[in-house]
Amino acid sequence: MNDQAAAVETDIPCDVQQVDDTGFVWAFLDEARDPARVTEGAIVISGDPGDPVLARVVSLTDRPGGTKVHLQVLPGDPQDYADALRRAHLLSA
Amino acid sequence: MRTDDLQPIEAHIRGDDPPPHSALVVRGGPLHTDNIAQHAARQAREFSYQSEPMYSVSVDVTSGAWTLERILSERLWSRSTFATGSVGALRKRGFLLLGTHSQPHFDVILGNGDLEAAATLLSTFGPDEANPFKRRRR
Repeated sequence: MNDQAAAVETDIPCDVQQVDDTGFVWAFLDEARDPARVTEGAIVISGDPGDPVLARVVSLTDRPGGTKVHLQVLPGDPQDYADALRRAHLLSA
Repeated sequence: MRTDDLQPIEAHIRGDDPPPHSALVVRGGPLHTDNIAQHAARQAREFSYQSEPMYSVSVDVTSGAWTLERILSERLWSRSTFATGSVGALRKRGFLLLGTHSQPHFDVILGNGDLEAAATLLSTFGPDEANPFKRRRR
């Protein structure tokens, strides 16, 4: 893992192979760094620090084990999104 | 939390049984015992198997149209590394492989889900390999 990867902090970790019948990956809300940011429709950094992914929060469901968060992993590397935002002057650095 | 509150995985088990010698079990990185145990613990908070919390790890298994290349490019494109093992090798080490949810997803039952079980599971896989389909910019 390089220094940049070591500095990555996910909003909510997930295992991109851990899917259920919905076809979406999922995690529990109490795993989130700041659970208040994990709301339906929010865009979050998920996966793991070595291979982060962008994801959209599909739903939050109360389950006996906690609040289950379904995530739609968005295509492409997060850096692609940052590059596009910079080109459009929507991101300064 | 009571085990009765968990979702029985039995309702989500498919009937397919991969051939022990030709099918490959595919797991994306990072392939570390702590990650494996963390994912197994998450699964046990949601699903039960045989009326007990189900400590299991998600893997994909090659079968039919789900070739290794397709799994790597369509399901594991975000993973830098992956490793494979054979269905037979996993079973020989005593792991139960359940086809769950939609193909090519399987759950490997991991006993009590501790680090030792995770290490034993990882020992059945070959070395980490670079994923040629990783869409990486960093």
